[in-house]
Amino acid sequence: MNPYSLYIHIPFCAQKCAYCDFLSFPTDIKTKQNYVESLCYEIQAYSVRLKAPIQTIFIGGGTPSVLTLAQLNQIFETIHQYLTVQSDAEVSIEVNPGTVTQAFAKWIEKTPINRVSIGLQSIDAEELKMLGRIHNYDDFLKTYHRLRQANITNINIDLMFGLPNQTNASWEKTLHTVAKLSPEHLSTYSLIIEENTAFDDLYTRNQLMLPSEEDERRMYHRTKEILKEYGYHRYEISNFAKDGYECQHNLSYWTDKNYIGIGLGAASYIHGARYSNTSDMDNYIKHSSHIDTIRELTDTASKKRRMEEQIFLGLRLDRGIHLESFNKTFDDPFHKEWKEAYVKMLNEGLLMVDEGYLKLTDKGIDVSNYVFQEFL
Amino acid sequence: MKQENIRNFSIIAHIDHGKSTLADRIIQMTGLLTEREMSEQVLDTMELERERGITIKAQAVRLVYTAKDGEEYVFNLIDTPGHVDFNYEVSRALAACEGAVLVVDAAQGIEAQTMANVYLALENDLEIMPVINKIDLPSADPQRVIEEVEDIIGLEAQDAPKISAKEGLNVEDVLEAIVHKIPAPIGDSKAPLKALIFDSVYDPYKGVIVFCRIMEGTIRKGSRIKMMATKKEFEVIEVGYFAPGSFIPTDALEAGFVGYITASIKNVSDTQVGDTITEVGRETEKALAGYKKVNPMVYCGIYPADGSKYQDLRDALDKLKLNDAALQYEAETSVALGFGFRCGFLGLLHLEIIQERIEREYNLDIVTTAPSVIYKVKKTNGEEIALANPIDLPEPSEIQYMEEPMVKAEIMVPKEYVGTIMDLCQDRRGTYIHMDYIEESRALLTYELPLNEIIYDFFDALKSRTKGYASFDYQLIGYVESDLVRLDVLINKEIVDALSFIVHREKAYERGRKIVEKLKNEIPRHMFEIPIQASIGNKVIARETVRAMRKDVLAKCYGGDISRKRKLLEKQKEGKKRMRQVGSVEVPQKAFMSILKLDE
Repeated sequence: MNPYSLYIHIPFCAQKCAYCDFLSFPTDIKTKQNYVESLCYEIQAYSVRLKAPIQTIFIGGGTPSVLTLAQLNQIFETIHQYLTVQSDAEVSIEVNPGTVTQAFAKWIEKTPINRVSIGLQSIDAEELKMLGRIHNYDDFLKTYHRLRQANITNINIDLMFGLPNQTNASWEKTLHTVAKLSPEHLSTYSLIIEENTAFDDLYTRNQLMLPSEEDERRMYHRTKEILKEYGYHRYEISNFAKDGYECQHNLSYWTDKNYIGIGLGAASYIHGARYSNTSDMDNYIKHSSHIDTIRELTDTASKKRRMEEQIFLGLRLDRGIHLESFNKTFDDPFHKEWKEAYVKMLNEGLLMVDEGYLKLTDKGIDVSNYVFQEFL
Repeated sequence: MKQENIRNFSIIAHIDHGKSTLADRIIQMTGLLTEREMSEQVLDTMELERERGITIKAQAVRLVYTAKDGEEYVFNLIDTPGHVDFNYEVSRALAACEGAVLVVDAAQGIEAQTMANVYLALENDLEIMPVINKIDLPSADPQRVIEEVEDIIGLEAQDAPKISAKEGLNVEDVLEAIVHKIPAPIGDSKAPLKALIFDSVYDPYKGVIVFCRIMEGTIRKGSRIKMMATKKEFEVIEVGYFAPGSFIPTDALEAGFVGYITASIKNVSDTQVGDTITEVGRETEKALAGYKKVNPMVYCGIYPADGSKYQDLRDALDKLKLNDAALQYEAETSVALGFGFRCGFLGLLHLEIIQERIEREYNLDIVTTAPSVIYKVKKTNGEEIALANPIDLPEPSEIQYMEEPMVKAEIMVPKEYVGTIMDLCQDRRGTYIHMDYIEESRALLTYELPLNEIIYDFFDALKSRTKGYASFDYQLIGYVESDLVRLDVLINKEIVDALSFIVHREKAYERGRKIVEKLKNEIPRHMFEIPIQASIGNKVIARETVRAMRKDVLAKCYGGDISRKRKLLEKQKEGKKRMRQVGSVEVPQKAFMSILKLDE
């Protein structure tokens, strides 16, 4: 029986960030409580169906740390009551620097949580303000040390580059400063202007001064060089880790593993089929104990679709795709239907084969969407 | 039905003066349709016609009216298009009539196309009966307009019906006037058959349905007929007349009648509009004069967006040609666009209409190239060629001189815009001829303009500079020598044949600059830098660069939502599919069209 990953979505935050188009919003106490109860119903509903053990758990959002400790406890208790979790499971939670109190840190020590992801984004006060973040760097430091004191030995820090008015120098300063703290994992995301965000409005009105693409790409490539000096290796387009600290939960997304998404709008991947939960809060709260009512099938299982996904997911990984096993599973597509695209991408220097693995070159990473769509 | 109780007429008007509304009202008043059955603008059957509010094709309908004198009259109403591009269609319809109802807007008065249509009616010897419409408008001034009609056109108009077709006001007066003013047809129904083909449509079951006006003789079911121009013979399967939206079979059509025939005619080209039908074994001596052949004034390439749809495009053009004699086409190939057709049109609106009909009625995606007029090229070896495709222009060293077509344009414009419009005409290489004041507030400007300056966007420019108040008509007056060059566009150093066009030397720089700018915005970034150049011969006169793509990456896969990521990639891929490969560059189809509208 193949183990599962479990994602739990907390769609609440203290304040919506200017770049965020994720399903998340500020809300009232009552909705939070109703939502947590509904989450528990959904978890319970899976107990009958899910026989395999859980290998990783990720509580993300939004900002999970806006829930009360009692609510978080309720979620964990439900998981352990109804599902089988492996004893060595990776259990992560996302927090925002401003929301981690002393009490929270104390609490976390007693939970199964063994990995915490902190949404720092930048150390620069101006940049943080621009992003609509409500914390500052000192808040972050406090949070970071509290978590260390609570024996969290696996910490991730989220950072963003390509921000409005950001310079190469300020990005590199953020990187050096954060790397010196020596967290086990770093996620560095290039800012994407998503539709229906505050940034999108500003951008269309020409009021957002973004770095040029050249500068933005320079930031990206410098990131790898700088973090290498501190002992990090890049294992995915936006993710760096010290040896042995790659995020197992995220890896499951990219390597064709089963996962269950619990909560509003959460996505699941079960035996080759993809599902998405309803994004309607009332609907979710009302029906969360009926899994088939709240989720819809977004992609059916098919060999072709899986093969395509392996390209645009597997190639996100630095090590790439193991050619021999890929060809065996999918009947040698690089010499058949994808032959032309394959040769073209190799010739353009966007893909390369290295010790039996097919992977994106540095140039290929920059234009990875262009590469991926050749294989659709 | 006695011949003297038949009235064959058309309604003519400037665009938007209410021709179709009046036609609808007449149809409704003669009791053929109840109010409920009456969808607005019955005669404009094409989807496109309703949408644009204009009539493109002639349509005919037979109505029965009981007049105040107690007699029953048959009205054959033949609808006509209003736009200058379709003058040809108008004269076709008029040739089947004895009279024309001239609709004039009580607020706007006479416009350029009012006059153009009047001239056409006079050419066809028709009795013209003015009607003043839209008297319900607050700005209506019927008396002023009546005087205008008398002064400018020279028609007696004091007793013209003053109506509002929209409100149904005084439309009865129009019906009575038709009975009394428009002559009944004459013609001997016992004489040898002589019938005019004024339109036709293709029906998949019945073959070609021929619309005709019987001038002399009688046509019956079972008659052996002969098309006098094509010499083709057929046996008549069905004859009948037109009800709104349907065909009513009958036994025979006699002299003076308007109706249709079917005769299992499978080949579209066997029935030419304007041809005369006669009876085998009892032929009429002389064919009708027919119509003067119209020559297309504007040409462009039409290509299927999907190369495998070439045959479908040919079929669509064949069918459209059936009742649009002015449309011409022949196969051509383009390096950039593959197999397609070089098509000839009466004007830019005609081009646009055909383009839209192909897309809507035949569900084909097409790419059109820049429109061109016919240039005359005198070569140094004495040979003269008529150039419809810029690519066929000989080497400069082989050209002695070139000529371009000129038109006389009449522009009716409110006085406050006279200056603006004169500037526009000047800018389009126009020569001022004269100006008349129709009345105190309106002027009629006459200019000579090169046709190639008005085929792109002149009409749009005219409308936008006058808040829509100017009206415009033109006619070809001949060719003059001109300093013309071919402007080529190079994408990544390769000439794109579909983008070449002929332009006056003085205008070449400005046009070249605008085109490369426009293309720069239309061509997506590639993995490499793409120069876009405009050149005359080997000389580059304008250049822009599409910079290489540096970044196309999705930083984050949100919470395992892979379906969303896939959708983004699929959307991107879909956009790419609609592109044309020019060398190593993918050019969106939109880019080929974008150069049509440079005046933005």
